[in-house]
Amino acid sequence: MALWGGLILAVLALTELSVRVWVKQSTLTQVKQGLQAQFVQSFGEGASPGEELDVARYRVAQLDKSLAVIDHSRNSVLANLSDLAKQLPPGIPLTIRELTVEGASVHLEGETNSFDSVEKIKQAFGTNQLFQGVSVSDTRVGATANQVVFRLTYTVQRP
Amino acid sequence: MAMLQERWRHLAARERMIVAIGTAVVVASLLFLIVIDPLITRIDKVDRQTARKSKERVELSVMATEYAAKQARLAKLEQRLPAGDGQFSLLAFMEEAAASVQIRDRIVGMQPQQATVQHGYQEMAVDLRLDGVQLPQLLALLVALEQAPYDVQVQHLQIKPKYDNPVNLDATLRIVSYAKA
Repeated sequence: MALWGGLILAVLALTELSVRVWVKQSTLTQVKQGLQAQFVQSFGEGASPGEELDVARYRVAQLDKSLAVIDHSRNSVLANLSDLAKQLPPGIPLTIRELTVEGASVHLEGETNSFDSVEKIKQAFGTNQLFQGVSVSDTRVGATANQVVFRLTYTVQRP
Repeated sequence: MAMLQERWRHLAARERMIVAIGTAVVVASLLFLIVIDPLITRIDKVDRQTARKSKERVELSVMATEYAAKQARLAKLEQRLPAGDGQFSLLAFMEEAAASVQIRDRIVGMQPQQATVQHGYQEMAVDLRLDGVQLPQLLALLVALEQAPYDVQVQHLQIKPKYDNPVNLDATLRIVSYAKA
């Protein structure tokens, strides 16, 4: 009697395990099919099952490359000039000798009245997160009195 | 089989008990090793795969949104690209833009650059040199370029005030435009 009971229990346990495997396998198949359907809906055909994410990453990277070529909206020269003008500290005399805007990079060679003014100009740009890598170089006394010449370089990083 | 039954009959009750328990243990162990353990391993594996695929679905959903936004942005930008049939001339366009802001006479040089192809787009570039232009005029030109019906971009701008009259500027611009290759 105990033997038969044990056998029945074993068969039931095995059946339960098998059913559980079948259910889980069905769920996995549904999730895989859902993933493939989601890929086709968003990206079109072209990915074998299991490759959806890799193909999606590749397609997004291709778009990024195309946008990097033709989308220069973040490096508008006008916007860069406007930001430059807004950031200059008031009350400090500045004469621009040369200004170069190359994409997001801005190089300015200017003259002001003291080394302190150069530092204030640098600080004014350094406090704004829009301007990255703000650096002043070639600071020197100019040919006339109260004249300090410097170069200011920074990169505009728009969000 | 008959021999086993014969032997079983000759066993004492205690020996029968030991043999029965031993046989049950061996059968249970074999059942576990051959059937139950592989099934449990399979369940674990399928569970892990399901969790991974569910995570991939979430990631794919995020990427799909990003892809759609970028595709829309690209389509919008491509609408502003001049047609690649050769009818658009960047030189002529620049000349017109300069004339529209009354600085055509300030042009001292307009040098077209060798066209290059990048990721399916042909880049056309022109180096424009202006002499003695005033800042408002230069800004008007930049606005005209930015508001042009075509996607024309100023890739490089260099401004130098004139030594004798700093109100007048010497300016060098590199203007680029793209067309589908």
